[in-house]
Amino acid sequence: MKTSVLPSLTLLFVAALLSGCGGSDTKIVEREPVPIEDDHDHDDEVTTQGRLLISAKDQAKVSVVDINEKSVLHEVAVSEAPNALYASPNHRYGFVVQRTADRVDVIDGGLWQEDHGDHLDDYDQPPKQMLFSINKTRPTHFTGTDEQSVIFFDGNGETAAPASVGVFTETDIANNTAGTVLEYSTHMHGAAQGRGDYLISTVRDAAATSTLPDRVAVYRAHNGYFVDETIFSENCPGLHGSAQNEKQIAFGCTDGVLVITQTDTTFTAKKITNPASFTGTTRIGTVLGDNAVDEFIGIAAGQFYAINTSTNTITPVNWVDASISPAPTASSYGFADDGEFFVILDNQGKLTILHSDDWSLKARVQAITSNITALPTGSKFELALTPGHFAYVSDPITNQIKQIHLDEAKVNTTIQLDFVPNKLTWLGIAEPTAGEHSH
Amino acid sequence: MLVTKKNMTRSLLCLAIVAASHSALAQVQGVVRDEQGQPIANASLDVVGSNLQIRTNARGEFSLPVQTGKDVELHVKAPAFMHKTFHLAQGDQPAELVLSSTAMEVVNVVGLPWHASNMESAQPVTVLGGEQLRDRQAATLGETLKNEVGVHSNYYGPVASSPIIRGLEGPRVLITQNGLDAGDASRVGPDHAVATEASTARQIEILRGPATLFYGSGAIGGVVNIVDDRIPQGTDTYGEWRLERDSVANDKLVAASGNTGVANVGLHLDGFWREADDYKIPGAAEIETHEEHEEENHAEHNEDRLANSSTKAKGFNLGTSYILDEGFVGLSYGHLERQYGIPGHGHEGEAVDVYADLKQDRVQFLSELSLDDDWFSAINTRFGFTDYEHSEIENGAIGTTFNNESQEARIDLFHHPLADWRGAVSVHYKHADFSAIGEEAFTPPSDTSSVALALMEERHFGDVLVQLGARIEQVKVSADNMRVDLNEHHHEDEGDHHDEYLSVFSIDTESTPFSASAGLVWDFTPGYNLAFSYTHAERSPSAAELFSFGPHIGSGLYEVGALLQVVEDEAGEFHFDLTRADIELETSNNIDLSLRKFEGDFGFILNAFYNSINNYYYLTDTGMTLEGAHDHASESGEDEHEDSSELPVFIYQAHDANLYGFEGEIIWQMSTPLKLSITSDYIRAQLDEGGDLPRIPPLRIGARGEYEIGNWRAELSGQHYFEQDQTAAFETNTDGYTLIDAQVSYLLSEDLKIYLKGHNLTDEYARVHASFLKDKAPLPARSFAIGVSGNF
Repeated sequence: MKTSVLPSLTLLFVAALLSGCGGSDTKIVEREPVPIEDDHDHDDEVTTQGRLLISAKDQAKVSVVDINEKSVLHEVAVSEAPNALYASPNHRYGFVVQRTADRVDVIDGGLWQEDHGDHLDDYDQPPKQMLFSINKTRPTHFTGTDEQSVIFFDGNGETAAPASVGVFTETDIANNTAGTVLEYSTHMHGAAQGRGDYLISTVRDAAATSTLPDRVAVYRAHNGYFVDETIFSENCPGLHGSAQNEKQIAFGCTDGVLVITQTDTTFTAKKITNPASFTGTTRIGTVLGDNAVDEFIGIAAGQFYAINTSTNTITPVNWVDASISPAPTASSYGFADDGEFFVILDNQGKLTILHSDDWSLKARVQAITSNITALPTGSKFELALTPGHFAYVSDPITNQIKQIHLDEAKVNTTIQLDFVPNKLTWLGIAEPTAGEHSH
Repeated sequence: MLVTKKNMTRSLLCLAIVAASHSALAQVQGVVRDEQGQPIANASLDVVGSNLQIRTNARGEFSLPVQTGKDVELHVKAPAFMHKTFHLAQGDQPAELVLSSTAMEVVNVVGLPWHASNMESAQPVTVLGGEQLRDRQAATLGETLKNEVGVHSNYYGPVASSPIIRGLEGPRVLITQNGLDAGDASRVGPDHAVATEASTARQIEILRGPATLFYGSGAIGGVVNIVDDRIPQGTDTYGEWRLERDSVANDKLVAASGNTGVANVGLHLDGFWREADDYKIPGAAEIETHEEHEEENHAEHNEDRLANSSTKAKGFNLGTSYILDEGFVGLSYGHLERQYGIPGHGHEGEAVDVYADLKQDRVQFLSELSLDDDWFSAINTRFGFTDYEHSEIENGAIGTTFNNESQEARIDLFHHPLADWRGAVSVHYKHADFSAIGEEAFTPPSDTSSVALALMEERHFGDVLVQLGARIEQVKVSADNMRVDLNEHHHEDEGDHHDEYLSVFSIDTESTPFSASAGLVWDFTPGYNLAFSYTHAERSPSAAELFSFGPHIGSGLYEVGALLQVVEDEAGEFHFDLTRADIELETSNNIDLSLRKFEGDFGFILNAFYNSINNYYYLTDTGMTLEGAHDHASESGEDEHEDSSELPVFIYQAHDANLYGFEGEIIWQMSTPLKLSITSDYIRAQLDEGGDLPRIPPLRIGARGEYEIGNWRAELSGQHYFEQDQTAAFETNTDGYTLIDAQVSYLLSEDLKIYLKGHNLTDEYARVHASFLKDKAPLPARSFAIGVSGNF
């Protein structure tokens, strides 16, 4: 009996010894190598088409939607339903303007390029909310340049909060620094245009009854503030609306358009008076411009006008399809595709694409095909423009976003949302390098 | 309280298997008494080396069928008494078996081929069961067990903590459920939660020191086995339920389990649901340097709660078994879901929302049968199938998905005593198919399989119990698509990878770890014993330790496996290359010495151990950093990209190490209502070539007072953790701290209890040295919990 267990133990030990007792053997076979994939978190080789920052109707939240994936990547709760969404100059950041909450939040879309001198590196990161935010009274008009985002804070006459202007670079946003600020002593519904170290901004007489300013001044940046105010003698009664292109800045006035021309560090002002066709209170109250286009677009009483600052003329732009009745009215508009086109989205869901060199019609695209009578009260079709060929149109009826290829003048694809879209803006890289070379 | 009510209830249900009638059977009869000569009713008698168990009647009497002409060894246990083994020859009857009373809590480990309890085995064992387990249970296994002697928690926040046994964790500590591998990804990363649940468990067993003989070659540091009743071993009806709410994170827990039976079929159902918000912490989450503070004083730190530390979990198990005269055969299905935050993320105050979403399905088959055979007395069979998946989700996007599909089979065959040697042969097969897909796929898909043969035998020689065991295993680990970047990069080319390729390797490793252990338990004088054990254990490194190559968000490291090495070229640039050498097995030679006093009102257990480990695999800092999803190496400090996604590069290396320490537990039943206990443990872990191992828990001393009178029970306990200043390279000292806990409960009726618990009553702001998140996640703030529990 005694012999029957001990041998099994012994056997086990012997087996262990025979098998090399704790030995090991490793076989490594090298296989076909694979090319190194793009190393900045691109999950695939597909070039990103960017992301959309979209606010939900009547909700205090914004969503970042990936266009390739057609899915919500991130949601951020904000203080109130945003009045407007704007993109920073390089379309990395989205500004969420909450006017009555006196707050602007900033969302990082997660897509940006870094300049390495000889090449650009694309980054593709998850979107996130930035620490950067601004709490100032009544943020209203937003304008931008190649490098700056300019926000005009109207202030509030009732609470005696004065107006101010904040000029922010993408570095200010990344580092959560204060930017460059113009502080007024009174409130106004004003407008400002950044010009690098200079700021062209409006001036209002504190004693005036209107909240609209009537003068324009140029300021210079110094230690984080705009100082050295120089007021132009040419006035601009009932000023509303402003834009700039490469050389000029235009402001809408009740009596015409005030045009400021920059020559190096010198600024000169002139007025283009309203054409004779303007009757009654008709005036240009909205101005649009693009660095690549010499003429400005002005809007007076729902009509579009080309403002030529060489000939000092204001002439109508004919965009309406006369065969349509009732005639459409413009909902949303802007320069697109690096200034090549001027795009108007109307209240019937049609996108009119004009060549911006002569304002001739390129094409019309019926972006919205749903039953437009079902448009929810308080909603309108919104347009998000990009530096590339694509534009995006919101459909609050079906909760969809249509991607329009402007050059091909067609609806390219549809993104389905699970909320009613309100405002939207495009965030992303204008010319992604990914896909061109794999690094 | 000695053996708790729950255990009694449970024991009552234990099967009294009487072997089928057999011509060669005789009866052994006797009585079990205490030292005063009073009979002990309902004492449990196990026949060593079989599945046979019987109980004494109200007069303490028993009668047992045994094979004619054979002696029998009985392991006798009863609540509040010391377990004792008696050797009976058939002529001895009627036998009188006397048990001694004890202040110690003595609970058996289930499912091992020999009897192991904290008092009787050669190897140190702790069993947490009954009310004690209910009192300690937390959302994670690590936090549930952290007050046990020799066990610490690696505290990956309150959401994913795993137990550290004697300074060892990860792949060295095996986590099992009813003796079968937990089948999760918790051994791969500290941020991966253990896929088991304490609130529905019956007991949790901890085997300290190498327990490779029983569970496999991974268990070089120890085993934690979670035992539940998902497969009923009887048809009785019993169960328990609990509702609890805790203030520290608005934790809410609902748990219930019940067993019943119809005819010969036993049924089991349990379920739990828990939810907790982010945990309150007594101070800032992150340790900040002075400069950081200056720069960031406007950043919005949430000082009051630990970001990404919320949990949601739910699960259920259902099981059924067929009860035979010879034993039982049963099958169970379990489902577990858990969503838990992964704390420690976010740079410079930015909010990053990171959480894991875990799912596990598990089928177990268990059977214990007595055999009517001349050679073998019993056969225990276990099969497990586990399908596990967890995804790590950062800012709403799935970063990485881990999958682990595993199958396991174990058969223990018990033989009749041979020359008074009792024991079993065990055959064990395990297979795991592991993959990680996504940004953080730092390990390639791998396939691990093992086949093992083990033999465990014990024999009494007078006052000495000898336990011997050996296990031989064949482990195969393969990865057929290991992709690594072995290119030499230069700074000028940064980001410019024209014409560069990732090398792809197909790797198969095969090893034959062998483990053996010898132990003695000597009852040198009544009421005391001295245990000694020596274990030689070998471990095959895990797939993660070998094949890792990539960023691991959980640990915040760029992890590189032991199959690779760092090579420095003439220009001082670094790149990786294959080591191209056979894998060394990690080998432990461990000595354990225990002195125990167990009879009377005063008892103690003192353990000392020395564990010499050759080829100890651990992550060492290379001093380099790599961009999270970028594949070029650069020396830290010289990097142009000061990017937040730069991760420190840690590589697995094998060096010889020595671990030694002690554990002590002293229990004094001062009077009938009052019991005091003192515990302490200490671990020292050093590399042979000098230097300390990282994340080793500090010296700890704890004290506990328990007062029980009428329906009231109160408990006050404190644990002091000393400063840890024996640190590895790149590690910092950790301050000492004291945690005070208290608890009061009242029995409303025999079956209904309400209780109030307080944790960290002094609101101590403390950091855990053994945590990967030491600098980012302090321990939770003061909390109070209220609960009600019942059983039927």
